[in-house]
Amino acid sequence: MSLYELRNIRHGYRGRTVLIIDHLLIEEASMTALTGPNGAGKSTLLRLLALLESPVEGEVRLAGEVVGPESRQRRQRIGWVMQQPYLFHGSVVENVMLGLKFRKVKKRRQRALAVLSQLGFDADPGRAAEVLSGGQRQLVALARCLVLDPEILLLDEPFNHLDRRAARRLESMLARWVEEKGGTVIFSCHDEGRARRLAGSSIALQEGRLVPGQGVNVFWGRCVGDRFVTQKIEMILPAPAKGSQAMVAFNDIILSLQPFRSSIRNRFQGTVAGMAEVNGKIQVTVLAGEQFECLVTRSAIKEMGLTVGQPVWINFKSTAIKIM
Amino acid sequence: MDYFEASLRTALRLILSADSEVLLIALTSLRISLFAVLVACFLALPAGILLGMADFPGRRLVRQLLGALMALPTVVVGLLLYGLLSRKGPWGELGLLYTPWAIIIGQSVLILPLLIHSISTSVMGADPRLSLTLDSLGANLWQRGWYLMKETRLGILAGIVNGFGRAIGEVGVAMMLGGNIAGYTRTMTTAIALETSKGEFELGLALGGVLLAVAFVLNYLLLWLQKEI
Repeated sequence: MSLYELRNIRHGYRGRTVLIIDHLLIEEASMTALTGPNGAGKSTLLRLLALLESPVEGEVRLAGEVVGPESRQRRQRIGWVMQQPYLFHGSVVENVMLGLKFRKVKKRRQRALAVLSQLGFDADPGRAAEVLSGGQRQLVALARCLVLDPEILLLDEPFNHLDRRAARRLESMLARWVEEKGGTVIFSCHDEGRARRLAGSSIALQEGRLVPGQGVNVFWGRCVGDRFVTQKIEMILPAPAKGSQAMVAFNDIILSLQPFRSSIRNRFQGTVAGMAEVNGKIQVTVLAGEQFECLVTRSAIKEMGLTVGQPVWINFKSTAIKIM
Repeated sequence: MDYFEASLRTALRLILSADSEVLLIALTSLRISLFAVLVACFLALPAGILLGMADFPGRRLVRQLLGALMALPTVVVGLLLYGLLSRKGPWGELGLLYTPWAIIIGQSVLILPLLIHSISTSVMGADPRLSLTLDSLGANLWQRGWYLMKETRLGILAGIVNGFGRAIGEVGVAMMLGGNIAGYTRTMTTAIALETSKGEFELGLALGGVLLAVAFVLNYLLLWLQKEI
């Protein structure tokens, strides 16, 4: 069943529209990634999902019910952590206890300390929250939200200030949370690789609109005759077209170590920037002017001896490009 | 110049020797104005915080009105309250005229718009993330108000100190409603005005010095609080 359903959403501030979503469904007990560049509308969408704002037009449904900022009971079950969390004057543990205090829950300190240690917060919990580092602030805000035992977690760029170890720990904690508690996590993230690795589904936003194809291998630019020109590369199209987005499906990209002679007209040289396992296959990120993602089997990786940093070629037919 | 220098020297001596008259007037002044600030805060804190929190269509107009009232001449406040508190006035039976309470009421009325305006400005100027965080953590109206006040305490405090400065430095209300009764309603400003007109320039000057010192102490206190809290 869909947990969230958004219909005909138009939202903005002071007359400027920043989010237009015709229809969007988000599944329950799953992890969903929100991807897109800065200013794509990810934080705005999260605020709508957190019931902190009402859309200017359209409706947000949560478990079938139309909801908004007035749905206080519903909101109590939603945890929301912003990109640059606001911490209150006082100690770390006082910050974590705040929501519990609002709800008049007992044994606040004990619960707050337990969540902090679960998140691997290693600084003194009695320390003033104002002097914490970016990563520590993020963890405190996350603890403040988790201690309330929410059913839905909305996290705005949660990995931004975390070091590698803390990010890994958070990743596995979130995965466990979804699996064991049946909770729903929706997080925004710049890193497509991480989004793919962690989330069962992803929502890609660009300039306030949903981008089809999950935002992977979607390029922005313009058509010039039978070429599609981005800021960095030029793709050859089968025929002149009109549109501002070009999309190449995952499976249509062929990875090779050498340029090969064939009817394939789009060839770009790049380097392997990352590899991550996705459903038994390996997702290879290649920087070839633009960032390309392609799926390769484990055995093919072995045969090619593919490693990060290695020069490779990206190949796809002009007919593989969809212009939108 | 000799006259001025001699008066200044006498004034300094009066202050340094903690002259009983100077001390009594200064303490009366401080007591009355502190009380006035307390009374005004009692009303202005909830009103200012609510005004800062609630984004309603007429808010701008209300704040503009408060802004205009901030510049209210002290004698006008004194005059209006005199009408209300005098024997023939509607509140005449209370017998408050020419008591410290009359000055306290007058000064509270005088600084109320200033306090509400500055408190609401502080709350409105709070980090926009603060309100969102409070909402997301499930704060009710009271909890929201309390935490908005706590988090914007520096701005609020500055407004209150400013209000105290205006109260202790005003002369119109204290003169018209207090009547400058020695040892009872004689404040620093009324004493300065009247003693000087009687030719007691030294006493006026000494009280002026105390008033200046109060201003310095207040400013210092504010700076210190900004660092400490």
